[in-house]
Amino acid sequence: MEFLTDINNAFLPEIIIAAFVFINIFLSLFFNKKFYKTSQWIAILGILMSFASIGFVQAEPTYHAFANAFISNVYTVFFKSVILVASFFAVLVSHKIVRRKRARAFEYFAILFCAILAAMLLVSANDFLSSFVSFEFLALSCCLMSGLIKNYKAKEGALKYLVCAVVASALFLFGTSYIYGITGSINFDAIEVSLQGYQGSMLFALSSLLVIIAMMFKVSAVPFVNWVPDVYKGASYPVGMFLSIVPIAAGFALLSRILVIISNFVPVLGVVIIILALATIAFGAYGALRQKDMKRFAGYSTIVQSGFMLLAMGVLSPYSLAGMLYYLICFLFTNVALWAGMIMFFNSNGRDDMESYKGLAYNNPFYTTAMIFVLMSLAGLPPTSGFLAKFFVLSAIARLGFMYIIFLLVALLLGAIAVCLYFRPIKIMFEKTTETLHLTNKLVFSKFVFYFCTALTILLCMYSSKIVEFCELIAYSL
Amino acid sequence: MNILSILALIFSPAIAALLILSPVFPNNEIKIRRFAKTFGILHFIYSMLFLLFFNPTNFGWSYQKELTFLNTSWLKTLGVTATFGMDGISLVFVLLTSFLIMIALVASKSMIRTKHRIYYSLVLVLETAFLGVFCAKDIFLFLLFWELQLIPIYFLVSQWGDKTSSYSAMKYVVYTFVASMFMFLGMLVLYFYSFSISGVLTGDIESLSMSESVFALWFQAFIFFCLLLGFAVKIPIIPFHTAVAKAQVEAVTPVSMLMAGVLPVIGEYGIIRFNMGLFPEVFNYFAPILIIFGVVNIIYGACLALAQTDIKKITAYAGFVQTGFALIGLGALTELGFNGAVFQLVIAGLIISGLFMVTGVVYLRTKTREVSALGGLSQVMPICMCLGFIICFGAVGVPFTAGFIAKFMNLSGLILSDIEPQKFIVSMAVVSAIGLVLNACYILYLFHKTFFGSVLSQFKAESVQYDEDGNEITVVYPKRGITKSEIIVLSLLGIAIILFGIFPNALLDIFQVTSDVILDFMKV
Repeated sequence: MEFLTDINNAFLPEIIIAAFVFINIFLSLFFNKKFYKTSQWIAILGILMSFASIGFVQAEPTYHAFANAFISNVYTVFFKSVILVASFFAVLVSHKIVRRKRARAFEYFAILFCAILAAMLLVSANDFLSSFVSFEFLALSCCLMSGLIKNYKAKEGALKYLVCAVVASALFLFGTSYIYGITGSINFDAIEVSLQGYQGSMLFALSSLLVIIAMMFKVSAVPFVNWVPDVYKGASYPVGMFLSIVPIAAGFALLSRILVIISNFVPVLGVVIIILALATIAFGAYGALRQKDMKRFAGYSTIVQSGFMLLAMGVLSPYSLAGMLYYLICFLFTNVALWAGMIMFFNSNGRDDMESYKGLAYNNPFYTTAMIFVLMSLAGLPPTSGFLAKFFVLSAIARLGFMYIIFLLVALLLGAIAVCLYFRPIKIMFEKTTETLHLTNKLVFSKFVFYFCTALTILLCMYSSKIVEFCELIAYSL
Repeated sequence: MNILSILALIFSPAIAALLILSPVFPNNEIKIRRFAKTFGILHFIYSMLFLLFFNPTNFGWSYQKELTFLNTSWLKTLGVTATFGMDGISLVFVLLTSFLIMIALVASKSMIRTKHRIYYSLVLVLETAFLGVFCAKDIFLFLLFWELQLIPIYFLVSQWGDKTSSYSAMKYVVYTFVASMFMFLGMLVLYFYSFSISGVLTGDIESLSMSESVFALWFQAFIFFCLLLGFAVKIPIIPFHTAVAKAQVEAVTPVSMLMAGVLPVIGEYGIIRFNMGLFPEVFNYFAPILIIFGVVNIIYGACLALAQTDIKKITAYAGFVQTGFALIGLGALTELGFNGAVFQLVIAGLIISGLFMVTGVVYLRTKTREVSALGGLSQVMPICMCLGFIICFGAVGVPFTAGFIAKFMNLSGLILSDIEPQKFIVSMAVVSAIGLVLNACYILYLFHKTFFGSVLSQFKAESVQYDEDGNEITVVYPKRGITKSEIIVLSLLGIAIILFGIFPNALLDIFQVTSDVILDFMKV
């Protein structure tokens, strides 16, 4: 009964999520006109239970579960909490989907919980096999979710996601097989042991590069970025919110853990990742500057933000990891606030093109003020948390040495372009127009999520000292 | 002296702005305006108290205070703290800012017609950002307030300006932000390399000094120019001036007053605080470049102003000329020049915002800014002409106005400079003296074309009345005279210009000790 001890010690949150997958599937069999309304509450209950059970997980010292296929430590627990918080917000704003899907809302939540489960497993995977399985699991459930709506765009997005996911998995497997050939193991700990004293070779560099590039699909960075705007455009809003945070957080968790093992043996890997990150920011900024659609704009914005997080990955010191974690916390709340604001607008008039935001400042000053703070935080302007987050990531590069100043300069200039692109929606909101759409949002949940997360983006900047210490603590545990 | 809290001085405008924005506040344009105006006056009185209790012989920072959140410093792990303080130079600029904001709030009465609530709260937020820059004692706190200015300025220019002001506001934001990114780069490099030498992570300005020549000169120069680029766009130094000029011209008058009055001061404050305070050796080496920049600002700015036909554009370029004189004073590296530069910055703030006010008053009445379409306004608006007369003479540098003292100090500071070769200094002084003549040319041209000459028919309002016998007589009277609030604004500026022209020491004594400290540091 060893696996029961494992579950008890380290996998309670996952098991609760998995149980709720089955509960949801089971409940979807009962068609009842009124019963479907409870589905959202059941999902909230599931996530809250799972979140509460995180307190019972053994985090210190590291716990090795299931024959060392998964681990549990402070680092994974942190990422699991981030995933659960993001999913909690995504469930809260799913009201519209529940009303439209009716009895099939349970199916939606079943798939959502599958994705949460996959992301949590990906975070704690400790060998290439378990990480590949969770990688595929996450990709498939996200693919299903993005094709949830019955229209052309959603199907197009889902298919694009699937194709990209398959290519990424192929690269991942290809790279892993070579690493297995060189080190004779697929377990991360065993690889670390067998690499001691290893001189490094071209083959090892290539294979680890393949693995890293495959991970770029999860964190939506160059070269796998083209799917992002299309998938977000096709997906419904709560799914978009989920996709823009959870797979990225899970991807960064795994990426950082792989990088810690292999980066010492591949000298140029840091530079390659920094270049990829800069290319990601440039791609996102270039795309977002020309967008007319708010959803696609949010997609490109996600690309820009994940590019900045990837920048910290290229450095890989405890300091930069702490910066990445702080950036992730800020990005979590800011991005949730952005999507919740878009949901509030969409729910009142069903439009998502940027033109329809015209003149909003004159009819809904409070909403506009909050939205400006959110966009400023994404752009990295004070007095929001985005400013500090960018400061951390960029100062991590400044710490590296004089040779990296050119990268720092490029990153700063791209940051300046990012400011322009986030000013565009603000500019449109202040434009005068004859007919202005009103916000008639009766949904309490999305309102709450929007204003709560907006307030947090500002508070995180002021009370940053404690949070930064906390992030450094977590980073040192890796 | 517990009533004098620097935190209250800096953050009270932001709190007042929140109060105006909050739904509790009555949505009545008159109440909002009066509240903002009263707040501006009280804030100026409060900042005067800081002057009253200021000890001018104090060498270091006065009124130091740290802002803590739940008893922990802001970013303690990085050695970055939210500490504020004032020395003599900061205090002078804080007073100037508070004064100009008060003036702008009073002047807004006739200029702002829509969206009062957002307008007044944005101006007050802008005041917090300005004061924060002057009082920040940490480089990253400085940066935070520096970038905080962009948001209010963007909205103030784009929402209340001319038709194309949205475009120029965006251009201004992009320009300034790109430049401030270079500044950020310089600050980050400075921060980490001083860490690698001293082993202490700190962003405190006093402890970051690089005078010990532990770094190679080229390395210091790299950081020096990164910072200088950030400040150059704010001042603006001539090759980087296009966005600033456009934004100043297209903004509404009170906003133009603030931009032309305070932003150059902030830029040159950055040069004094960082480039001089942190890199004395490099500054000694590159001081001639600043002089060249100053001379280019004077000559090129004056030529640009002479070529314009729009009175607001002439005024904007006049501002560049005024800041050029301050740059010369800074580059001269003499006590007279340095004091003159600080003095010139304060006076330029008063003069240029006064000129913008005059052009704004004229534009409001005549609906045109073309020189050819104006004329003879002295008959229609005699009071405006009288007050504008003082301000224009201040700009030209006529004796008994503060402009004369400032320009005299800068130019004589330049001539007394020890910088080799001496021929260079003399030629620069001659060229900038020619600049003075050009300066007088376009300001007198502006004044003459606007206020003198025959009254154009469109500015006359005629009404037909009948005398006792029933014969028709035509009475000519001004269409709309100048209002009371405009008289207050212009006369306050005029009084300040004349006052400091007669008693320059009233201003100079405040920062004398601080400038001595900085110049002593430069000689080491």
